[in-house]
Amino acid sequence: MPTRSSPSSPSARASKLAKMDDSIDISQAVTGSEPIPSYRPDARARRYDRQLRLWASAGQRSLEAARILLIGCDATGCQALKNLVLPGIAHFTILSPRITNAQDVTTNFFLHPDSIGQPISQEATRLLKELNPAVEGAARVEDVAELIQTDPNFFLSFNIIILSNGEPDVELALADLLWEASATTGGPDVPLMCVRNTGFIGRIEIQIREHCVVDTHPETTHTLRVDEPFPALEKYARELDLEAMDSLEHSHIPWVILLVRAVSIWKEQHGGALPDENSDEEKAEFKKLLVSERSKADEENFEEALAKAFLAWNKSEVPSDTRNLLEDPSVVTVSTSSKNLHLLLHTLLKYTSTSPHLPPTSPALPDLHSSTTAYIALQNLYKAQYQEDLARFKKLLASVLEGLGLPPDAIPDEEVEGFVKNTGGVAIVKGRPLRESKEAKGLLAEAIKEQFSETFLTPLAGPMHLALLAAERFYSTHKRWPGTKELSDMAEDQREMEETVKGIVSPLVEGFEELDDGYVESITEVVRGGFGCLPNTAAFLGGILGQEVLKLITRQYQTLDNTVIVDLVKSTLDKFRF
Amino acid sequence: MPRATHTKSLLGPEVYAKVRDTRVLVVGAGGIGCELLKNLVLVGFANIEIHHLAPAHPGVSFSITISVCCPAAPLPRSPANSLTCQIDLDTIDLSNLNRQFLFRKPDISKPKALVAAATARHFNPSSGINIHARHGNVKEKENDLEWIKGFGLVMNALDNMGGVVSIVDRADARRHVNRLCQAAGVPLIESGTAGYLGQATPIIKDRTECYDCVPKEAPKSFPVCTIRATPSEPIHCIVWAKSYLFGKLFGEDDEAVDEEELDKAKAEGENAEEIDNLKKEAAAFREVRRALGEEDGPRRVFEKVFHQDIERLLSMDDMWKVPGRVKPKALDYDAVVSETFVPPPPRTPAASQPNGSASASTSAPASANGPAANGNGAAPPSNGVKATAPTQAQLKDQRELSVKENLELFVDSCRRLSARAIAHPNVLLSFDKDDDDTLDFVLATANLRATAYGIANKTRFQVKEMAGNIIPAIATTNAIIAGMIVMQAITILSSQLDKLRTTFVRSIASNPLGMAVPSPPNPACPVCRDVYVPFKVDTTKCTLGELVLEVVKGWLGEAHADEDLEWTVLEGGRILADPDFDDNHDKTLEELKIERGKMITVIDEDQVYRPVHFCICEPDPQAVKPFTLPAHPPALVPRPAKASVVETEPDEVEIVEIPKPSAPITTAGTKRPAPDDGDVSVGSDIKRKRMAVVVQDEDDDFEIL
Ligand SMILES: [Zn+2]
Repeated sequence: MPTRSSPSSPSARASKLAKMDDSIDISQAVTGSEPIPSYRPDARARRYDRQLRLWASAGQRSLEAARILLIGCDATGCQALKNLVLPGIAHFTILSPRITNAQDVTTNFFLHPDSIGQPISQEATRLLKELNPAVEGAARVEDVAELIQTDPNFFLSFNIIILSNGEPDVELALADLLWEASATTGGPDVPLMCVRNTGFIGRIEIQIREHCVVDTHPETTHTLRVDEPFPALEKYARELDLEAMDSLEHSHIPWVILLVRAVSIWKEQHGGALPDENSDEEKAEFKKLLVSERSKADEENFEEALAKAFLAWNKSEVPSDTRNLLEDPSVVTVSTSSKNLHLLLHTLLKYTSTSPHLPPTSPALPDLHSSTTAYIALQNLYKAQYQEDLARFKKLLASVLEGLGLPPDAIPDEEVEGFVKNTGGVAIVKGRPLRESKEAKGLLAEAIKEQFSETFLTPLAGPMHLALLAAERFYSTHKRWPGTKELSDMAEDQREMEETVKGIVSPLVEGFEELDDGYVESITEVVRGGFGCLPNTAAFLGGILGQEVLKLITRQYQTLDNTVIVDLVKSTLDKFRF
Repeated sequence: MPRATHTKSLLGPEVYAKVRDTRVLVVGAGGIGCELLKNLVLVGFANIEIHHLAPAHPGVSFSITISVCCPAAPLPRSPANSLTCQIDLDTIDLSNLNRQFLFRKPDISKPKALVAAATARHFNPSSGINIHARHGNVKEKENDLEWIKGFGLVMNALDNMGGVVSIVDRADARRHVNRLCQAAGVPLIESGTAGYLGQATPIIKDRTECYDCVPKEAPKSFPVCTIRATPSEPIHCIVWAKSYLFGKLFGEDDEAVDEEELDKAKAEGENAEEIDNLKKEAAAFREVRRALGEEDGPRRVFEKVFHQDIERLLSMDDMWKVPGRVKPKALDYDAVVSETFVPPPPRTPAASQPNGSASASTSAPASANGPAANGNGAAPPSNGVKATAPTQAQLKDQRELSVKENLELFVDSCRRLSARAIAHPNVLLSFDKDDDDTLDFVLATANLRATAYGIANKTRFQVKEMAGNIIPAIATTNAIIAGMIVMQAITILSSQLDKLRTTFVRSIASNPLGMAVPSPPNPACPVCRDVYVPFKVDTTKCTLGELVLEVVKGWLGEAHADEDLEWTVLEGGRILADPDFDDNHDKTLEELKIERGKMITVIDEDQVYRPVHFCICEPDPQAVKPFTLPAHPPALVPRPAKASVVETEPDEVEIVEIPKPSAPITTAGTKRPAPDDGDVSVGSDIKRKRMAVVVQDEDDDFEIL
């Protein structure tokens, strides 16, 4: 029987350390030649173990298929990319025509002193690839503006584009290209994430036409239907013989059952009506009915039921967020080119149009005080109903697909089941074109008007966004950033920036005269930052960027829509929709 | 090219000089630690000590010093400022590589702190960075008050709280660092992440809450009998496998602790007959343990644990009359091997819940951020006993094993572990979720037990999470938190303490980054409201009697002579002396096993004042007396009203899921119990709740001091 130790086992450590001196690669010595037993995770699953627990294998699959483009090879962009290479995207390309200089090396962790004089995209690609051998990396030494003209399709071949501290005109040109491409139904809708930082300030803008979230990870996914129990649940609750139970059993009836039972009895006594939510009297009466079966005062399950008594008069209905989704024209009318989520929502619309006009029952249950036996009985009731509802949903879906001439397996079962279990956990985010924000039109114009109205309290980051916008206009005019001139007269740049901000505000706000202190301070902070890279700000923004890319790719969790401003001096992050 | 120029102009020359010159200590080289080290280096911190902590493995000791000095900006390296730092043998695991970017695949199994320091240094050798990392066994002798006082700022980047579960008491690194910083008055930045959640908290003595000001959630625990005799959920079987059976076969065989635990359970009203039965069972373990290395060793363990012990339980009729209890069925070795074993009817007929919990009061461990219903992260076991073929969506370790496969895995892992135990008799085996041998053993035994009890089996993926208290971890959150830590560090060095904020990363889309003004210290805090005195002492010369008479009564009590105070002197939960107990007075501190780094706690009998802790430091070489005291005794601080005391007693204490933040109560010397007052010593920290903050933290390694 040979001794076989795994890499991190305590006893292996002693020998490993000895081996280290001989520079034997222990990871290979241990796992290299041995076949991995079938019950053991492979190396891939082990590497990604901690994140699989966050977004599950469905999310990981999306991630491992993702192709990311980074334009601009600065510290911020490379930090963001690091956060994506580590969890295992399929591919990244870095696009930059620049040659590495000494300044780059001092701020960017993914460059080496030897990189100086070499194309920066090649150098960073090489070093980033070291982080994860499973990830493919490519460098393209070309000018972005030119490439937009000569090869626009190049940009459309990616799942997400990060543009780090790009020139404002390039930013707009690329945003236009992507926005237009997504205008046609079924056309590529490539999210563009523009990041800009100066000193302790950073801003991220995200342009995407439509983003479907398949799982927002809502806090609760249960659909208990206490007020409108499905027949099996009501029957079970009514048939329980409370009097025959001993005290242990009695005090472990799940609160859901207690409520369902009370509601059922109430309805019987009140001609099918629920307790009136506007009548304190009826509510009190209902609670009295509920506790009338309590055998002693301190039964925890009855306490829980009392705390949840409001479920008896809160009518189960399609949640308003879901209702809004169902009313969306792209859901009401579907076509062969509709996305899966739209087809599923369209089916849900049909599903809820018939009695009981409710979404499918979820098999999930909340935490409750119960014995194992009672819990499982309850769980089985909900699971059975879920299966029944799922079957009904699938039938409707099949007819929808057939009606469109799509194959019956057009949507994988896994996706259908996931949706039916969690209809409240989907979301569709409708984005806005970046151009509108950059030109201070649309929502930004509205926000400016509001900010300058008498009653509005100026938020911290609204002025910061305008200051950054002014800086971009400054750049377009002078081909340099404010605060960066040799022996620059900061005051001069500051004055010009203030004039630019006034120029943005005055056409929108009648009687506008002077900028208040908040604006002046924001402009000062932006100019002081000099649009140089503070490595810590870069790392922080890289974290936020990476986080948002992960959410977009895995289509899980709510994304930031669509502008974020970070002020690390104040430790604030503000979110706007412009 | 100086990296300094831009940063310098933004920070201003004064703050920049502080950034460059301040000695900072980073505790932890995991996910946050990697990010932090990189940021610190890039921002211009030039004098960094990194300290990684891991469990002590007796018999393993290794020591090395890395110090990087820049020829351009050499830092003086005299013995006085040569840094001593201990980093334990925490090594790199494959599952670290999804976020700990200072490590590469060839680094697997190498010590973290060394690799991290080497990589960070390598990154820019011309920048004058001074990173120190020392690597050795955990004996925190050198990490005393004077040592921590040498830093201008401490950053806790510990990645783990739950971590490897052990029944062995272990001090908690976070609390230890917090206490040291409070004692020394050094600013601390505490941090942690869990999945998309994260937090960074500045802790400034007398100004903000300390780590222990907020009561922490009690460790998860289960009644003895549930674990040992009447499991009803998968987690009960896993805890049994990991915390009981594993220890019985491979861990420290501590009969006394076991007896004590059972007696306590009995005293607390658990079924007396059951307890007596469990005692018999435990006694029989010694025999199978001795035979473990023999050819039929694993089979003998199997017969005992899954057959005889279950049969014995079944013979107790009364036990199975309790409503809700389901009788187990003893496993038959040959029948399982020949696949003729008929398992008892499963109690969970359909698919079990991924997060498997039957009720709020016994819910499963950390999976708050786990995949929701729609995710397919957890493959639902079909019926608890049958193996299912992996579907495409499943990962290999999300496949459920058959009873026979579990048995084979049990036999195999037993052999592997006992071979290790024989080869390294001095190395105590302990469960480690990243140690495949131990995880295999726990997986197999938990599932076999679950089968006997008709409880749903769990996959390897699930067992790993439940047994290892695994908390999801990703690079992005670590990056954000590390950025926050550095900003707080800069704010502290700029002396702009009024601008300090506690910052949170949350998964709330509408407000993903939260901040809060730190609360002032909790007047009832048992850590930061106490009084700390540096005590430079030659422990070989100073006797306890001298300490009591000269230091406590003479020096400390002088100003209160009119109050007639009576003193109790404690160390680590044991009483060294009190007014009616002077047996130890003639012993030296060394004889009482009091060494550098420890604290002697002094409380007045009537508990009018807060405890005073004497922190044992190196003796002053010039001193004539065996000890040196500060010029003036500290002012005694009255205790607040009793009502606001932080502690709460957990209602059930038994096999504890999370390592208990405490030192053993019984030590050499006197066996007298400490007074029943939770806040007098580190030793009684056990009662305090832990981790009330939203965030636990990323898990990957076990850190301990
Ligand atoms: Zn405190």
